[in-house]
Amino acid sequence: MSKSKIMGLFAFMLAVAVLFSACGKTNNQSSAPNSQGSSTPASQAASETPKDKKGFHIALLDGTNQNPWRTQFEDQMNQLAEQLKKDGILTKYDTFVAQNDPAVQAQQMEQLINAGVDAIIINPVSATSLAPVIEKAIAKNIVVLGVDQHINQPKVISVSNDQYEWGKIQAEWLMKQLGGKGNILWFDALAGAPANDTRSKAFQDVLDKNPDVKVLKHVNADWDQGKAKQLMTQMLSTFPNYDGILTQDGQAVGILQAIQEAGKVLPKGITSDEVVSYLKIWHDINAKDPNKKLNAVIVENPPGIGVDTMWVAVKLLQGKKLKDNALSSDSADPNSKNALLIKPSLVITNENMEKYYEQYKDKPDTSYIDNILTEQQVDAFFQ
Amino acid sequence: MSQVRKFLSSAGTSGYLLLLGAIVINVVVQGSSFFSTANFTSILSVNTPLIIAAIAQTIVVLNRGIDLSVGSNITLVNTIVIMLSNKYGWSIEAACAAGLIAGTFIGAINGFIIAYFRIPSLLATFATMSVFGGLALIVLPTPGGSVPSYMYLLYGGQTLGIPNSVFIVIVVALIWLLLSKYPIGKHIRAVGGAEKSAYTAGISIAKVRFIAFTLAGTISGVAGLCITALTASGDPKIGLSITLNCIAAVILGGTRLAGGWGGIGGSVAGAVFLGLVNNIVFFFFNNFLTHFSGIASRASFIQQLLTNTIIILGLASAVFTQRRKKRAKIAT
Amino acid sequence: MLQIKGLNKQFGNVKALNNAYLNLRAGEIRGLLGSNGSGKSTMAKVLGGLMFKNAGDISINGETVEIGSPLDSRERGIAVAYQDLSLVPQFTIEDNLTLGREPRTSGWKRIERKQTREEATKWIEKLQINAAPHTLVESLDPSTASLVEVAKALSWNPKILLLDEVTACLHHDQVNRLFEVLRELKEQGLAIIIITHRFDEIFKICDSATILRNGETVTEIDIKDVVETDLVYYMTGKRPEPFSRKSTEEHAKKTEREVVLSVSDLYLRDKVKGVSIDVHQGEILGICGLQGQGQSDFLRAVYGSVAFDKGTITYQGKSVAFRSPKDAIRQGIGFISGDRHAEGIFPDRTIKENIFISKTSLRNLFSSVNTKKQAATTEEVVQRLNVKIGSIDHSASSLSGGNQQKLLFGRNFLFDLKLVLLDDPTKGVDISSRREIHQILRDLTKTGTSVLISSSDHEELLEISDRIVVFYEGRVNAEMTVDEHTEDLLISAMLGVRVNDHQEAGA
Repeated sequence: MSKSKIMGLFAFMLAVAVLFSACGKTNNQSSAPNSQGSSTPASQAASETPKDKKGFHIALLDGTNQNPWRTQFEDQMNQLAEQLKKDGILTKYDTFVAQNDPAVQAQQMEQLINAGVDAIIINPVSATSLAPVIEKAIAKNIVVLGVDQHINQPKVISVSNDQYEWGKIQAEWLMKQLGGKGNILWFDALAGAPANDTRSKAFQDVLDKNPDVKVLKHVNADWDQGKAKQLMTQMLSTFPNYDGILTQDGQAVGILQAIQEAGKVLPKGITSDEVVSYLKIWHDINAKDPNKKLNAVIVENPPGIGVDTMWVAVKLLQGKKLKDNALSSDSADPNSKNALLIKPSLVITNENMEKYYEQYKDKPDTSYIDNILTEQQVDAFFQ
Repeated sequence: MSQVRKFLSSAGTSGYLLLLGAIVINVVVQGSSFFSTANFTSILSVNTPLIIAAIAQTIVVLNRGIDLSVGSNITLVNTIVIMLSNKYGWSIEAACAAGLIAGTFIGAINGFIIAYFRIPSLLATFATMSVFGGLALIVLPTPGGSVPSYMYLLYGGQTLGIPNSVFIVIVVALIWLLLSKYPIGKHIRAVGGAEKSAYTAGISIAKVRFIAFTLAGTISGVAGLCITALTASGDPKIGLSITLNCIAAVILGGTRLAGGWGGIGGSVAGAVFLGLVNNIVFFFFNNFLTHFSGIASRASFIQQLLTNTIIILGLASAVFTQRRKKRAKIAT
Repeated sequence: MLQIKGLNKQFGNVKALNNAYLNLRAGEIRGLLGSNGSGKSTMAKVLGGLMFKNAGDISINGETVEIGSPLDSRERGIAVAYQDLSLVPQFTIEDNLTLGREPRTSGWKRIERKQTREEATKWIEKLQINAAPHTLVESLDPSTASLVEVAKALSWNPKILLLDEVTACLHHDQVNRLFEVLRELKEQGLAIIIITHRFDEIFKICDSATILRNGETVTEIDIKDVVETDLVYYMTGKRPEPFSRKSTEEHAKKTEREVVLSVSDLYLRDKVKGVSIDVHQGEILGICGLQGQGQSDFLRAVYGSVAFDKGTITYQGKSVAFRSPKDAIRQGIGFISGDRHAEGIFPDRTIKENIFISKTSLRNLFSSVNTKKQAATTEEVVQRLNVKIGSIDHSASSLSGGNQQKLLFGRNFLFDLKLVLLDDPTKGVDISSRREIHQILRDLTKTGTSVLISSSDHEELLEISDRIVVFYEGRVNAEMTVDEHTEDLLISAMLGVRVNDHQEAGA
């Protein structure tokens, strides 16, 4: 590889690039005027004249879309964006997915900043790695929000479902079913994943208050139905005298299948899975023998958090300020008060199960039981 | 004419041509803002860790090996730097130096296992990938930490209109090009090209292989420092996606996985190509498809489909040009 | 100068070298002879440091030496040019020549490119290698690559030079030039050992010969004291019976038989330009020519492993164009290549598997395999072809070149063959195996099988063929029925002289 050859190559590439720059300019003016024409004033509007409350450009940076929860999350945000576009509040809304690659996400963020976006909603691949580029965005008065996953950045508000509360409600419900004593099997999900750890801590805190409840076995099923089923099958023979099951979501259907296939009795209580298929199985078990109902609970962990976040973004762009008490600290980032935690409000037990079954029975098995905040409920977070 | 033919038959051709094609398409979808310094800086600074990892991978592949632990190496270096500077109060410079030493050490361990215990590199680095990845989780269990702002400002900045990260790539590339002028550079290729012949010529296969992997470790360490400067934080999973991407870059760059043939130029081009693909897809959506609401609502899936299709086509064309060269050879 | 005593080398139970000896003076050219598997290459590898002896003494200039690595060997002044080249294909000629002993610049100790180039140029000129120093070795044809291998050995400035069958791929003029250089070096006191199968070369260049049989040194003799049959006797322990050449009439008679394969006006890129030939039933048709005149490409086009551009192939009365070797095998066509390593043997698989690979490939991928029957058939094939093996479950790489080649014949004999295509099948095969292979071919024709054989050795073709076509630059330059006078015509036709009168006689 001679030097002259490399230089020649560079020269050639440069020549072609310059050639195309001319074409590129005309192209840009004709086809994408809004990326420079309308959004730049809009961002100025957001920062300088907060009375202008319309015409925003918002983008979602999703870390991955490889599961049904994410799909529902993106779909709902798209629906709201369409509606907001009709109202003129949004002019442009785009989704970009990073395929779990932090570098790709950083690059997308850089380009959004260069393109002059007004607000960026990020579901981060890495909780910390976007720090420098987020600073760049904030310096340009772009509203940056985290969604579903906390971002460790003091100036960035992350909107997420309150996972601690999610875990606490379930665990407390289970303790009540067992009357404060008995043996349980404990299924956590993927060790090290932030949501898992937060929920696990909530479980532990509740268990600490109930010293008579004994944990026979504590396992990780990685949010995987198959793995949960396999683990449960093993434990049915080693720990036949369990009373209740404390599990994170994405696993309960597998656990129930293992129990049913082994022909064992149902547990005295089992905790949540928010997929519609769980609701259907629950309904079927109850319908088969009304005397042997499944004693279960569902606590929502709604994909609708995306829609909630979009509302928050719009309100912030419109110049509203969050109430001081709306924010709290995320356990992964205890030093800053930058988490907007949405507490679960929808809890399904045997008392109201049939009602929700009617509501969801026509939805696909893989969709999630969902609850979206109304605009008014979001307004309640603001001054 | 013969110059053109010579260029077309050189190893990096596929990488350069793909890069050229990507630049052209990128200019078309992005418009003139492609030529802004901000754009160059953002593309290159984000992709520099991948580019440098691709250089490291090239050295190993030239030696007829493969290093699956590049990503873990980068991650471990990143977590070590953050832990030392945040938890133990080391200066960032000292922490980076330690990180670089750690990267070299990781490479040396790989090299030692592969060269002296004669375990195939695919197997050995598959194992060390998990070991070093696990170590990174121990060093820094959760994402966090920070670096002084001057570090990432310097890394993301530019000098005379050239992104600073480019200088890092140039320095790393120069180190390898300089080594190529020494017997060791030649011997790394010789062992990769025809191990038996190299042995017959009196070259110590084990020593050369050890050096190749150690060098790759050091360079991966540099990539780890770059990702630390880019993200200004530590994350025990930050480098995972780099491993496969840098192997893809090497293939795109025309380096033969069978060893002995290729060069870092093509790999750098291949890595930049991968970065540009993301850019192309971004602007394709941002500037064009956003107006079609039917497409926009399925944007994230179409993006993945598009990105991966372009990469597969790129890989196929890189492999195809190689195969055609080979077939032409058989016919003679 | 070099003295080897009681050299032993064992691979498992097989004794590759058993009490072998060799004594060599400075300024002597020694032929190291023996049939395949007699231990010549093993001795070369022991001297080159690629293998370690089990017992025995090697002394150079009276001093006993231990050769533990190629580096050791080189430091003792030994250089070896190997049969299976020791070049790095992805490197240029100059980089290969200096590999492992790169000249360095004085200050920074970098590789001195200028000196590298000069040195390469020197050897290229000396051996008249037809390639520039910056040419990639993988783009060289086999003969040039062999010369580069020799140049590499010579460039080490050895005191003892060992050439392991390097002439196998060389053209006539290349061999002559090489021998000139060797004689010159011999005058300067270089001791040279040549391993070759070509008897004419032995008589041309060697002063003396060391003959190995089954790993043992049989004798060391002066060449001027012996004739060809003596050498064969030493190598095999038997006096060869001269094969009688059949009469012209006998050869001509075969052309009256049914045509099995008829190729007309075949084109394949710039390799084959309008070749037409007919092969009759039970006939051996030889394809002769200098290397790279399109013979190999022609055979591969017929076999279906490369697609031809234009022309027709009629096989058993039907027009065919095989899309892949599989089709050809199904139709009873066998193919055996002299390039065993690239196109034949699976060195790491067992002998049994090697014999059965084509047969099983024709069946359903998941059909069951009767291992007992396979073993029995393998034994039978091995016996019939006189393949020297340890066990049918040993790997094919444990066999010598000639025996590997016979294995390929065995593979094809599992089918009911109508036509066998052979591309230089006896390349690097010793004289006795060669004769066995010739006998196998003759036996085949008795059962009505036709043989189309290409060879780089025209004497071989004269010996076994009924008719010979001569390829020159992708065309058939001459076609002739074999008789006593054919040889002169053949050689001139090979060199491109048109010999039309004889073409008629053959057709």
